[in-house]
Amino acid sequence: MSGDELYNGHDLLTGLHDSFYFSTEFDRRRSELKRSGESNLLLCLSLPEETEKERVKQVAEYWGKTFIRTCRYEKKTYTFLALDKSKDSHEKEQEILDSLASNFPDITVRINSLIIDGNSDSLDKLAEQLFA
Amino acid sequence: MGEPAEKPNKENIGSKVIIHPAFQRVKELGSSESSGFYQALQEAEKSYNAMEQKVSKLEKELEQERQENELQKKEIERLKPLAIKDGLTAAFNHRYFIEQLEAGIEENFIEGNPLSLLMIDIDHFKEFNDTYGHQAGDYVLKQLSFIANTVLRETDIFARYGGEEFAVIMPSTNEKEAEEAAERLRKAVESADLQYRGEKLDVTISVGVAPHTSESVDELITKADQPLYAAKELGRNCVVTRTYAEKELGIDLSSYSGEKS
Repeated sequence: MSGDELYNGHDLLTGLHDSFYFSTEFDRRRSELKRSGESNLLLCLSLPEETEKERVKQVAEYWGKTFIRTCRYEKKTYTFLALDKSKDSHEKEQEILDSLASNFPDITVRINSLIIDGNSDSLDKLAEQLFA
Repeated sequence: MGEPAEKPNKENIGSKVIIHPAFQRVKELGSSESSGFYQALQEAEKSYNAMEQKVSKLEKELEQERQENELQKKEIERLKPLAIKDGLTAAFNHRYFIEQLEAGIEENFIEGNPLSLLMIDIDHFKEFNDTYGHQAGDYVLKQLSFIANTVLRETDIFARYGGEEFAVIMPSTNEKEAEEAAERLRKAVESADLQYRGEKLDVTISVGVAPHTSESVDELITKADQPLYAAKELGRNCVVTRTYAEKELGIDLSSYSGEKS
C-alpha cells in the first residue's frame, strides 16, 4: 500500500484538507504576509459534536465553496479553519454567521477569527487561541 | 450460590470490586466446616491467582495496543510529507502542484493577485543517465531540488512535474519578477559545482515563464510549456518568457510542442 492510499491530505468525512496540508498553505501565507506587510484573517467554524454527519458534510461543503484555503482542523471535533484576505474580523464573522443562518437555519455554529500577519505564531498555537 | 461474578474486562478493572464465586462459597460454608472452609480457601487462592494472571495478561495486551496505536500515529505522521512531496527530490509532488495551482488561479480570479508559472527542464538529462547511470540522474534531480529550495522564496511552490521536468508556482509575482527569479535559479544551477563519483557534471536548465491571466490550470501549464520549448530551440540554458518570445523574438508559440531534451 502506498503512502498515497493511506494518506492524501484530505479529511474523509468532509473532503476538506486536513491540518497538515493546511499548515503548508498557512506557512506560505505567513511568509507572503511578512513580505507584503499585510494581514489576513484565520477563521474558525465549530459545530457541536452532536451535529448530524450529513449536516456536517453540508456545512463543510459551504465552507469549502466560501473560502479557497480551508481544512478540518482535527478529527475529534467538527472544527474548520480558513484563510481570508478580509481585514475586519467582526464584519467577516457577522457576514458568515448571516450566511450560515440563511443556509442552515437549524444548526448552531460558533465562528471565531484571528488577525494574522508575518509574525504570527504557528498554526497550532493560533488554533489553541481560537478554541480557548 | 450467588450471582455469577462479573468477568474482568477493560471497563471494570480498577473501577469495581469483583466478587469471585469461590469467595462466595467461603461465605456460604461458614467457619464451622473447617475442612470445607480450607478447601474453599484453596479454591479461592487458585482462582485469585488465575485471575491475577488474566489481569496481568490483559494489562500487557492493553499496553501492546497502546504502543501499536502510537506506532500507527507515528507512521501516519511519517507518511504525511510523502503524500505531498516527491520521494526522491523532496520537491512537492504533481498532485500537490495541481491542487495549489488551482487554488492560486482561484485567488487570482477573486482577489486579483498576480501569479506566474515557471516550467523547468534539465538540459540533456538523458545523457547523464546514459553516460553515468541512473543514479547519476537521480543525483542531478536531487541537486536541482536542493538549489531551487535555496534560491526560491518560501512562498514559491517548487514541484516535480514529472521525470526531469519541474514547475514553480509563484504567487503575487508578475512575469517580470518571475523572469528574474528564473534567471537567478538558472545561474545558480549553471555555476553549481556538481560532481558524481569524481566526475564533474555540467548541469544546466531551460525555463519557460508565463503569467496567469484568465486561463485554466491546463492552459496555464501549456502557456508556460511553450516558451520552454522555445528556450530549448534557442540553444538551452536560458530563460524565455511568453512576452519576450512573442514580442521580441516574434515566435509563434502556439506552434511549439514535442521533444524537449
